[in-house]
Amino acid sequence: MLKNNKRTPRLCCGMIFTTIGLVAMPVGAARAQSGALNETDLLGEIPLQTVVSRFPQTAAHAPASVTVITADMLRAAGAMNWVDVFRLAPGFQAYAPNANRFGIDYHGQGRELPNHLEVMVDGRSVYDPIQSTVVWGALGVDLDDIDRIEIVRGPSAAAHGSNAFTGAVNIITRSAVQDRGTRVRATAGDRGTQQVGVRHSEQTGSFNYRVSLGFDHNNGFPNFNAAGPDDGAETWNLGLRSTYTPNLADTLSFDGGFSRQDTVFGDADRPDEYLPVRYYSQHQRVAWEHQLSDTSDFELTLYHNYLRTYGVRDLGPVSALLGVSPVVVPLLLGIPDQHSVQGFHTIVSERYDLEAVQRIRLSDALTGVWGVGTRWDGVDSRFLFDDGATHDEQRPRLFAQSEWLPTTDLAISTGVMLEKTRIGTLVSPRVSFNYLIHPNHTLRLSNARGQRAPSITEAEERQVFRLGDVITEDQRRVVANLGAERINNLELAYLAHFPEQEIDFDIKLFREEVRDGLDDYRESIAALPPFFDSERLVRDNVARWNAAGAEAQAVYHLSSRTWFRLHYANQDLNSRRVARFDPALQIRNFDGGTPRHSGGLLVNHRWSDALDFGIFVYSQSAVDWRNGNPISGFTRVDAQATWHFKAGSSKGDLQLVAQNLGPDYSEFNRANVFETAVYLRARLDFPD
Amino acid sequence: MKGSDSRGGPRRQPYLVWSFPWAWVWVCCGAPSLADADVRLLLANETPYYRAAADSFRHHLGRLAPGVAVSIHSVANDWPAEDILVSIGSPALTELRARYPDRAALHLFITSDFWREQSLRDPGLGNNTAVALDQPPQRLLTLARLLVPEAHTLSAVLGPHSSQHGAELSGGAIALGFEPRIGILAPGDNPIATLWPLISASQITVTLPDSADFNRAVARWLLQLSFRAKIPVIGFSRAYTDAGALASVYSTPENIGQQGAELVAERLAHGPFPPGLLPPRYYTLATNATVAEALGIVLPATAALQNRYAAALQEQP
Repeated sequence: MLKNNKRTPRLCCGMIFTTIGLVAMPVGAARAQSGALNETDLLGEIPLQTVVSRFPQTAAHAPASVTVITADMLRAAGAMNWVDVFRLAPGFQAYAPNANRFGIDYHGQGRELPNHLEVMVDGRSVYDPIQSTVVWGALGVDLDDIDRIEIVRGPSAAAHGSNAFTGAVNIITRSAVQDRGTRVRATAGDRGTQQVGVRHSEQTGSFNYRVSLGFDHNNGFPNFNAAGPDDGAETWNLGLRSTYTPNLADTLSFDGGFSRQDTVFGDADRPDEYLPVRYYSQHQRVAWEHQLSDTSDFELTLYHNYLRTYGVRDLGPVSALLGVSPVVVPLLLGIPDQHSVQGFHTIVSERYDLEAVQRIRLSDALTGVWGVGTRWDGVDSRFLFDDGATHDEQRPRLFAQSEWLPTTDLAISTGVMLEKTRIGTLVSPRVSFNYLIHPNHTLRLSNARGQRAPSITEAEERQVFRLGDVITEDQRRVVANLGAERINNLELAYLAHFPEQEIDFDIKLFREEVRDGLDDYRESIAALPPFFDSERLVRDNVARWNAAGAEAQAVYHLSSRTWFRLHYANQDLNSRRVARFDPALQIRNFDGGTPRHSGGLLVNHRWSDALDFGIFVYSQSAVDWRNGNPISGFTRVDAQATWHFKAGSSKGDLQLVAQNLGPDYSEFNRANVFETAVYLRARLDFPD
Repeated sequence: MKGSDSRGGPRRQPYLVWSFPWAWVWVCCGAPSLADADVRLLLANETPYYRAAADSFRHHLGRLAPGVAVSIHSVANDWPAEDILVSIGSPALTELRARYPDRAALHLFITSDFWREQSLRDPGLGNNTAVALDQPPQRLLTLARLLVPEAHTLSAVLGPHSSQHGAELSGGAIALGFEPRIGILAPGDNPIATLWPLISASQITVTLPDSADFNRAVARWLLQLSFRAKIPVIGFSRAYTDAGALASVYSTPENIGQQGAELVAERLAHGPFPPGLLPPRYYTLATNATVAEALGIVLPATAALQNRYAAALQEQP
């Protein structure tokens, strides 16, 4: 539970006044002379959602590379979990340190807990300050509820803040207005997989809502079941999305959710150290959208995230661990013999975020968005900080993005984010020049720079283990003057659209320089009982790396029944980090922390209105996972067949998914052996 | 979402086809005054679509009447009486009328709504000629019938401006075999409560242009609700198709520029412009393959769609 000493979030009064000022702002003067329709009315924008600049843009004008994963793609690929989802995006590393613990990264370095990718669910950041990453098992999102996933492949700190260091992901779930009626779904298959879910969508006058409940159970990797430790998981999700539309200009929405997952913490390299953990999360989000005029709209959003993690394992009496008689323990450690427990006990993180945004079209050639926001993060953990206090931080932010079309064939996008953080005010700019060499062919040159401030845990972590008041292990400290990580990204891209052939293609060449990257080095310590480690980890800005390569993606609609989606990434990573300062400087690299080649081909063919078939081939070259093992390259083939049927007024589908039709392969750790797995899914929609 | 477009228009009248060579000969042989006339294009501003219309106009007139000089202006100056005046955009029309209230001119890139309103304020405008940017409702209805031939019930939600076309839309729908269900949505109304009963009880929906803020606000709900009901939407702009409509029919700046050039060539050949508001002669069709696939609608190939649509328009009275 939360401690009473947690401070109330200090939401800036200035923001409120700014908000009021925005709403009170007079509407545009586009129709000053006449009340009649004009050409702008006919040619005006019909809003499209996009994550890149936070206002509608075509891909040809966007200042970064974008990948959109649709619900159709997820179904065609037979995706079962988040790793399956993000293998559809070029340049992404998606991996499973254990069967139910996922790492998703873009241009990553092979870390178990990647910390450079901002992930949002319906615009709500789910990047958690406890581990400075995303706890995918606690998202409370079922893949069946996803409408689409918009991915910015490239630094997006200018639009989404510090944590969008290498990219940003917005997972957009189906709105409360999209469906009506009840959907029941069930999945069963290998690894003891059992999933059931129900989703009900309803409209009551001006109010639309969707409630979903899901349960997911699996036993993890089979080879671990036999050995004893189980990396299975059991997850419950309850979600609500609602929309209230009192009139044409205003939309109010409220989302909430709850999730609980029981699983294990740790990786398959040391299954005997698996720590049983329970994640409990909840969130609430309210948003008000108001159309100020035909050229401007305004959005005010407030959300709250709560994540509690509990993990403890009883290791047995200290005497047994040391192999000594119980009477010797007081003599050795000065404490009575007692049970030693491993784990982080309870860790609580909480976030409040308030943001006001105005999107505005100043002229036909100039469009933009600007906004102010503030975020309060707090973490309680004796394990992480060796105290009982709430460690918190408030980050106000101010941002603006614009798109200027000086000529019909040139788009210039600029954007900047100012964030006030614990280490000072960070400035993250982005500029892009998009030149239409032909109406369907675009060249883009863009430069994005970002600064990332350390999260609460990264900045304040102090891990020691105690027995009573005695420090038995000193595991980690952080240097006092931790600075910002810095990235400088340069991209040259070509985008093509062939309408007659229904082909979309884009390719980009990129070069990324990261300086002052956060990493750990080891230092020797003394004055601890001789049975324990004499070294600890120190977090500091001691890493730097350059990445260069190319990424391409293409979609081809061969016919109304058949489409292909192909992507490929080539990345060359050159890195160095300080592994130890004393007694002699040791420099290491993690050049192998990302696959040099990765790519996938997804094909979907509809045999008839009742039957379709999809196959997804994914391949990646060898990776030396930093917190795992060196793993050789692999190619995985997944396939699915779906039968769509009607039963009275209801309709449904039955899907057979077969994952990894080829030989077994390992992922992240050698012990994570993926065998062929088969699943059967059923979905039934009952009309309202 | 992916889409494709095709351009075309109703089959050109034979007399027009034959008139162009004669106009060319007539111009080259030296008509007493018009051969020396310059064409003055007045643009409302440098907005890309005005510029695109002007470029198209110049390109096509250069082909039809090679000897005629075309100049582009941002301000109406003192131009010789024999010059042909053409405005592009509603602000340019207003400026040209203020400067030359007694001269006949051609006005491009305006809406029929704007023309009607200006005609009430400025009775002399009736002697001028204009090409409407917006499509007659019948064109949207024809596209709806062509793409979903089995549809029986058609819905439309009209706003403060488009409601004046309600009777025309309803009559046109009945003529094409639809049972129309037309609703009116005021800015203070709850959009979902108004839209859903109409959409859920129909098999296709068409949208008519209204004010930009109305279009933006309605499109969001219209597209989501129509997709929920698996009902295709026929839109009035490329943006509508990109956002999720099955198809749209609209006139591009290039289409309007081409028609303007032809009108000027006709004037050079035959004398004064025909007064009044003309519907756009050329149009563009845009379809959204992703939406079609999701709705189980098989779209004809681009060229086939273009031909069948032109034929369907020809068949209508």
